[in-house]
Amino acid sequence: MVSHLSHPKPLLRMAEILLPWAAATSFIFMGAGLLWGLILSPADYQQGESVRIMYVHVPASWGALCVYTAMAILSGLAFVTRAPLFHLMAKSIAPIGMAFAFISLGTGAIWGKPTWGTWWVWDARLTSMLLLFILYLGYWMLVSMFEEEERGLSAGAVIALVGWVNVPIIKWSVDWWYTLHQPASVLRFAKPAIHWTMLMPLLCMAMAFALYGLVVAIIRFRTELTKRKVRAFQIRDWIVQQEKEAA
Amino acid sequence: MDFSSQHVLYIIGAFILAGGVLTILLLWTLRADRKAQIDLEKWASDEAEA
Repeated sequence: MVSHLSHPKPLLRMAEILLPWAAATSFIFMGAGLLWGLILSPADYQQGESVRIMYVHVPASWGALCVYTAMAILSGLAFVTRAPLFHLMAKSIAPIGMAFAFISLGTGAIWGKPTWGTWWVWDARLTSMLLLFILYLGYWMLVSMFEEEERGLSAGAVIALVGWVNVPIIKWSVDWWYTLHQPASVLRFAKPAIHWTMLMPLLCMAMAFALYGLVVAIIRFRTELTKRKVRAFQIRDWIVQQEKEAA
Repeated sequence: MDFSSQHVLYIIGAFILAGGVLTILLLWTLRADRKAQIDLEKWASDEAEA
């Protein structure tokens, strides 16, 4: 399976077949989720209408955690198999996770104002989420700053692997420490503590975010492969030119 | 949704922020992909000419 994934051509062909379907399905889920979440679902008995911010905040937060976990797995695979393709996959998905983390922080601040009376508090959940965003930024800076791309990708992979420690901290920060942030309502060992009329639009939006992420990941991966192809052409031309000059 | 609620502005703000970020990321991705494709086509056509 891993060796199959390390070959770009069949993988890209499969991904490109998937691309229009994922885009269309994401669009449908997004439309349905917005209609359900903004219009049809009920207001919360405590938070009132502001609970609707959950329909973007929670899928973005889940997405940010999942993408970082995927980056850590891909980086680990890249080190174990020495296949550079896994580095490229990790690089392709990093901006998606960064965008999700930014949305999570931004919408969380907007939700915090009417609910807690403040945009921001330095509690465990919010601070660890901010740290995740900084880790994404650090990863992106590392993979972009080196002239020799492989060195940047390897350095970024170390950040992805080491920084993964933060993911369980984010998940269980609301249980381990006293925080303003509410505990988990959906992803927990017991039955979800959220009514189905809110759970369904939330899952709908989560699907929309996941499929959107898949679409962007496929396009970015294709772009990375194309850039590599162009660079291979450039290097080959440079070698030919050097040989001509030497002759 | 009760549009007379004082929270409506917060809800609209949150959804615009999320939609804006997702749109910018998608446009940036498509632009980078197009640029890479153009570069590749340029190299391929140079190759064919040579």
